[in-house]
Amino acid sequence: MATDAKTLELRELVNKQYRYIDRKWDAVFWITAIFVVGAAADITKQLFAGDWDFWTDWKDRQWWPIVTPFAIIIIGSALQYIQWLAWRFPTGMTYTAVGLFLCTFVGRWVQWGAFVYYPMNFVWPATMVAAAIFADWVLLKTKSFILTSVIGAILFSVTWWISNYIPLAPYLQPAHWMDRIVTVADVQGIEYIHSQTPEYLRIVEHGSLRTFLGETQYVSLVFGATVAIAGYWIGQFIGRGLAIWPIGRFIKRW
Amino acid sequence: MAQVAAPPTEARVSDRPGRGPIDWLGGWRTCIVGCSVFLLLAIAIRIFQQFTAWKYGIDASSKNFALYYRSLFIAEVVGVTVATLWWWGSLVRRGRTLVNAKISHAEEVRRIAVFWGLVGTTSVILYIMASFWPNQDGSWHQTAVRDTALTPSHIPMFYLFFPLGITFTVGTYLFGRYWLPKVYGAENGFPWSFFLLIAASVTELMQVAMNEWGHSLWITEEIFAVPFHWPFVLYGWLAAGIFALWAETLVRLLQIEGEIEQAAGVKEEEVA
Amino acid sequence: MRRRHRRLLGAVLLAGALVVSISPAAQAHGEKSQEAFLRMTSVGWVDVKFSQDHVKQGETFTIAGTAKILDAWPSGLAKGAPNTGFISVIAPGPVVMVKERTINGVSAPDRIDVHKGGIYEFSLTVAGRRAGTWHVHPSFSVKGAGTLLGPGMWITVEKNPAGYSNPITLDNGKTINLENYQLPFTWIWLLITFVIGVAWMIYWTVPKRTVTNLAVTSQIPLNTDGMEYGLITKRDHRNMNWFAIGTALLLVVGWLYQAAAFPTKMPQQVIQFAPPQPAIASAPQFAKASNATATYDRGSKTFTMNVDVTNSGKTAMTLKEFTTTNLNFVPGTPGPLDRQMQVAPTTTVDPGATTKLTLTTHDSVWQDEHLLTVGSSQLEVTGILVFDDADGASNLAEVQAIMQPQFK
Repeated sequence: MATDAKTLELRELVNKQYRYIDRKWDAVFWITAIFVVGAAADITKQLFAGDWDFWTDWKDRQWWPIVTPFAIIIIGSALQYIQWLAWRFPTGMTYTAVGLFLCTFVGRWVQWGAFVYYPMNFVWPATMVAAAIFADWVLLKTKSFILTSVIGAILFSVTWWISNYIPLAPYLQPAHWMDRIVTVADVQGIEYIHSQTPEYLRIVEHGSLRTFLGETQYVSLVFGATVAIAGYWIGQFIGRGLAIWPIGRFIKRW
Repeated sequence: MAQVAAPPTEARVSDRPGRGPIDWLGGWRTCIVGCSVFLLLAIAIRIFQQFTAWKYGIDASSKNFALYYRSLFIAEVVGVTVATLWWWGSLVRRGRTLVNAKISHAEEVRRIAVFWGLVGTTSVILYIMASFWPNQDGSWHQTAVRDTALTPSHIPMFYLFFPLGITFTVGTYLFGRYWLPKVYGAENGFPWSFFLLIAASVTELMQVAMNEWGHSLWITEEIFAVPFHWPFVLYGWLAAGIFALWAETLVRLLQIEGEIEQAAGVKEEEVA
Repeated sequence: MRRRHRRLLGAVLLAGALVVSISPAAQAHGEKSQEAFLRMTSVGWVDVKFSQDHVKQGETFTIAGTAKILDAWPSGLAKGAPNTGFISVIAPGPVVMVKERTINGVSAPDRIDVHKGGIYEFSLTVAGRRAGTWHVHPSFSVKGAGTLLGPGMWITVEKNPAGYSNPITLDNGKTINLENYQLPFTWIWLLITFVIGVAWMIYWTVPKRTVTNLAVTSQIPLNTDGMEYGLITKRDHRNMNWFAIGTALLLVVGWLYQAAAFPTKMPQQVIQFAPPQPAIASAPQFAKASNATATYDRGSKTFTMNVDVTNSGKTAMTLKEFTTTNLNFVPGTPGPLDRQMQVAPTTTVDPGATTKLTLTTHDSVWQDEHLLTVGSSQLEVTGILVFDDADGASNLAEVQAIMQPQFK
C-alpha cells in the first residue's frame, strides 16, 4: 500500500535534526521535572495515606490496601496523560514511581532515620514501581485511558499490594511479647515510641461482627482497586485540566 | 538566606566556546546554579538541625530556642522578603527596558533555556517544600510534644521554602513576561499556566495559617492523614500548571526552528 | 559592601539580637505551651518514681506511679467523657524504648478503656537505646483530648561497650534483633523494583528523543501510538512485554520466597481492655477537699492555697503530698522529683474534723511552667491531695481552687 505524503512527512519529523533543540533539552526536562513530580506524588501520599506508609504496624490488611493505591495512582495517572499526549511515551506512571521512591527514600533515611532515629526496618516506605510498570504496559497495549483506568488501575492496586506484602511478610510473624502473641510490627510500634501518636490513633483492622473470617484481605483488595479507579480519574482531571488545558490560554481581563 | 542567580538582561548570547545559548555553561547555567543553590541551602539547614533541634528546639520558651531557632525564623522571613522584593523589582526594572527590543533567534533560544532553568529551580523548590521538609515535619510531630507553631521543622518549611515557592513562581512569570514577550507578553493577557502555578504557591502559604489554627482547635493528636491537611494536597495539584510552561516554550522553540528554516529557504532561493 | 547592604545586614542582626534576648531560661519539654487549666484538670500524677537515672544501652529502668483521670475532667475535652487511653513514655524520639507496661497489675501492650475518675497504677519498664542525656516523662494520652505529661527526669543513657541490640523472641522460638531484622531483605527488594523502574525509564528516554516528539504528537490522534511514524515500534512493544513478564516473574518469586521463609503470619493486633480496679479505687473514701481558693504573688513567687479538708474516717489522716499536672509538692524533705511546701496549721486532720489547711510554696516553677497565666481562658488550680490514715490506707482527694489572679 502506498504510504501517503502526511505519513512520510511525520516519519521525517520524528528524526529531524534541529539547529538548537538537542538532547540537553530532554535531559533538563526529565531531570528537573522529576523533582516536582516526585514531590507532588509524595505530598499526596503523605497527606492522604501517610501514616499507613510510615509504620509497619499500620500496614494492615483492611485500610492500607485501600488508601494507599488511591493516593499514589493520582499523580501517576496525570503524568501518564501528559507523557503519552506529548511524547507518546508509556512512562508516566513509572516516572512518577521512580520519582516518588527517590523522594520517599531520601525522606525516610534523612529525616525519620537520621533525624529521629527510627530503625529503617520500622519506617521503610512502600514501593509503587512494580505496579506502575503494569499500568504503563496496559496503556501501551490499549492506547486508551478509559481501558487503562479500569484494567490498569485494577492491575496497579493488586500488584502494588503483592509487591509490598513481600517485604512486609517478616514483620507479620507472631512474637512473644508482654504475655501476649503479637506481630513483630506491633512490637516495633510499641517499643519505638512515637510520643505524639498514641497507639489508639492506629486505624487498622479491628474486626467486627460483619467481618467474614479470612475474607478481609480480599474485600479490601477489591474495594481498593475500585477506589484506585476513582483516583485514576482524579489524576486524569489534573493532567487534562490543570497541566494541558492552560497551554496557550490567557486570562484577558484580570 | 535565599541567594538567587541574577537572570541576564540584555542580549547576552555569547560566541565564546562553551557559553552558547544551549551550552551547559551558557544558557543552561541558570538551571545548574539555581537548582544547586536551593538544594545546598536545604542541606545546610538540615545539617544545622542535626546538631541543634533535639538539644535546643523542643522547648520554645527556652533561651536557647530563641538563640538558635527564633533567630533563624526572623532571618528567614526578613531575608526572603528582602531578596524577593529586590529580585522582582530588578526583573521589572530591567525587563521594561528590553521587552520591546528585537532579538536574534539565538538570544531567544538562550532565554528559553534560562526560563527552563528558572522553571527547574521552581521544581526543586517545590520538591523541598512538598517532600523534603514534610517528611521531617511528620517525623518531628509524631515524636515530639509540639509547643509552638515555630517548630524546628516548620521554620525552614513554612517560613522559608513556602515563601520561596511564591518568589520563584512569580519571578519566573516576570522573566517570561519581559524576556519572552512572544510567549508571555502582557498583550496576550495573563497566562493560565502561571495563574495555576502561582495560585498553588500562594494558597499553600495561606493554608499554613489554617493548618496552625486547625491544630490548636481540633484534633490535638498527630495523625498525618487528617482532613484538614488535605488542602495542602489540593492546592499542590494546581502546580500541574508547570507542565504547560514547558509546553508553551517548547512550542515557541519549534516555531523558532521553523522560522530559521524559512529564513534559510528564502536565502537559498535568493542565491538560486 | 555597599551601604544599602550594610544597613540591611545591620537591621537583620539587630532583629535577631532582640528576639534572642526575649525568652527566659527554662528546660526540657514543650508541655508548657498547653493550656494550664487543661493540664491541671485532666490527669493527676501521684508518686511517680524513676528507679534510676543512669542506664547503659539495652539496660532497663522503671517508671512507676499512679495516674488519675480527674473527676474535674473538663467538658470541652473528649466531649467530657474520656473512654480510651494510652499510658506510655515521652522522650525526644525513640531514645528509650518501652519493654513492658503494666496497668493496675496486668500487662497492657496497647490502649485501655478509661473513664472519668479512673485510677491507673502503672509501671513502665523502659530500656535505654540511644546514648545521650534525655528528658523522659510518663505520659497519659486520652482519645479526643491529647497527651498529658507526667513528671520528667533527666536520664543518661551510656554507650554499651558490649554493643547494642534489641532482642525479641518469635513464636517459633527464634530470637531476632529488632533493630535491623530483615533490613537487608527489605532494602534489596525495594531496590530491585526501583532498578526495574529506572531501566524502563532509561529505555524510553535515552535512545529516543523526547521534546522533539511534540512536533509529531501534536498532529496525531491521542489514542494512537504513532507506530506508522516510528514513534513506537514493534520492537518497543516486544521489549515492554519482556519487562512486564520479568516483573511478574519477580513478584512470583518474591511471593514464593516470603511464603517459604515466613510461613506463619498474622494481622497486626489491636488489644484494648478495661484494666481491673486498683485497691485504692475501692478503698473507703475518708478524705474530702472543698472550698479551695488560691493566690500567687509574683514578687515573692509565693503560691498559697486555702482548702477545707474533711476527715470522715475513724483515724487521723496526714497530708503526704499535693500534686498538680507534673508537679509534686511535699511537706518535709523533697525527693528527686518533689518540691517543698509548707502546710499550716498542721498536716494532720483528726477523725470527724474539718480543718482549713493553708498550703504555701515559694517556688518559681509556677511561672516557669506557665501554670498561672492570666492569659488563660479559665483561672483555676486543680490537683490531688494525697492523705494517708493511721492504718496506712491512702486516699486521693481532688481539689479545685478558684485562682485569684494578680494583674500587676
